[in-house]
Amino acid sequence: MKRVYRLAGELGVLGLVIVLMLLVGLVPPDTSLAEMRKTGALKVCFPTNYPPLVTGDPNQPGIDIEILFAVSDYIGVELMLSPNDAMGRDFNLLNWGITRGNCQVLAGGFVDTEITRSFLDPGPHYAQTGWAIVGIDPLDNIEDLTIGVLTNISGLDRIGLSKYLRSKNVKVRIMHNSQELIDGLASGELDVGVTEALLAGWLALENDWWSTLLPDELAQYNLVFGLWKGDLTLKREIVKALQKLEADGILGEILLRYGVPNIRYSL
Amino acid sequence: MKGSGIERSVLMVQLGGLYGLWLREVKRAFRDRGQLIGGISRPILWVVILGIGLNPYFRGEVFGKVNFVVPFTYLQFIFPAVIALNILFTSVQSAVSVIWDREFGFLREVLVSPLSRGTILLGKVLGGATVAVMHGSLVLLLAKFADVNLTWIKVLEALGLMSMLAFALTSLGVVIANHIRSFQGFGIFSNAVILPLYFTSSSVFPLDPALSQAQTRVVYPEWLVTMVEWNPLTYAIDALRGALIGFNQFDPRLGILIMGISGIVLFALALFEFRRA
Repeated sequence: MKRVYRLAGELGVLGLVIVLMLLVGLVPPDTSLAEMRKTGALKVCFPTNYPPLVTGDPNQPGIDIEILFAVSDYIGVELMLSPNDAMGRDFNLLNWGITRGNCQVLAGGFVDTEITRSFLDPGPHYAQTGWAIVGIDPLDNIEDLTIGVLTNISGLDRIGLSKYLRSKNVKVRIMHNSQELIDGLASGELDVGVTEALLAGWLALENDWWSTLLPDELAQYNLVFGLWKGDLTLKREIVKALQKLEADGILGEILLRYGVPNIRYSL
Repeated sequence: MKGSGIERSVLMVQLGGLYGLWLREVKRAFRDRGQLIGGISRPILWVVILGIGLNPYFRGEVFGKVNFVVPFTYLQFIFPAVIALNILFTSVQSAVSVIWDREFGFLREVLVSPLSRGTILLGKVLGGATVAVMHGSLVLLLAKFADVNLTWIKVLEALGLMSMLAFALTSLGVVIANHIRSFQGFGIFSNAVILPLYFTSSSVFPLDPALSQAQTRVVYPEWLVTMVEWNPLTYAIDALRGALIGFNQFDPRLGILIMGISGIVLFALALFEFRRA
């Protein structure tokens, strides 16, 4: 009997240690969530136009904007939108003028790569993307064609794409925005376009065109919201909100509404 | 037939003795509240206090500007190093039992038993290593706090690496204990080994893997880079980082190789000195 008591005592101490460690884990590691609650607003920076993630249309503002509205509703704060003209236009990220003071979340085409992780802490991914072709009619082969390439700010592997296109011996024209790509395709100046997959899908849906992902040799990436490194409490709250949105089917419904068919999203 | 029966019984005696010594070390550690407090206070201080305290200095303030050249947060970066720290302290300190046993006569009694010196030492080292792995595992309870996503595979991989590290470091502790005859001397000397080993193992600051050898020597003084690169613990922590947060500064196989070789060499050295003592 004495041995049993002794064993229970020893295991009790170990249990106490484990409980203490778990309790310590509940301490908030930073003030990001508390600060957001104090101001009552979730500040988001995003490019002015990056369909279907950001469209600029108040009735159909884009996937990212709609998701973030749902997230801020769940958290119980206002969504403060800060459209940023420089995003995507300038290759020097410092010129975008985005600071921790003017936004807590970066949206509109951030993918989870090692480079992105050097700047930001990616939130959970809600969709996947990669490079895709968009054209008026289906094609079997792109060799020797004239292709409009729109890279925007997607952070996808541009070097990989460039190698792939060179191997296909195509003529490349750099596009500066989606309208230029649409015009080029509609006028017949371009045979096909290559851009980020969700944008390609959106253009195909809007214009009744055709689009398909480029082959597997070009990687697929997870689409994320960017948070500042170290803003862990805010990240946890956003993860919780996104999990709730996924469980309620709201996330899937938003993605389908923007013509993201058979999208693989997971939190 | 008779010979093989005797061999089997000799083997059973050795295994029974090994188990007994291992269990004694584990039970003693469980009953030592001071050790347990040390096991939880280190991760709390290092992960919670240091992690939160340094967080603002390592987070981004301007998009496009990188202060900390690692694709993880500071908390995630130091998390595997704190596991190694807990193992390091517990492993080396567990060897104090060698002095204890020598001082109070237990070692003399064990040495006259039919157990070989190798079995006695292995029992002690395995016991110390088991306790060290348990203390390292306590840090895993803070994974959620440090935003480290654990999966069963990651945990198993980490436990394997932690066991190798704990075995090598407990053997190191025994090597130290073989040379030091007093508790006080062991405490001071082991700290003089533990802390420099830890701080020069890229535990609290990274050697940027994107930089070449020459560039690294521009960012940090050459003597420091050399110390980090020559420290075997650097590769153990790097392997743990690879397993837990998917970030490696060196080839991850190097960590396993170095820990394996260190374990064998240090155990052989400990055994050589244990036999001579």
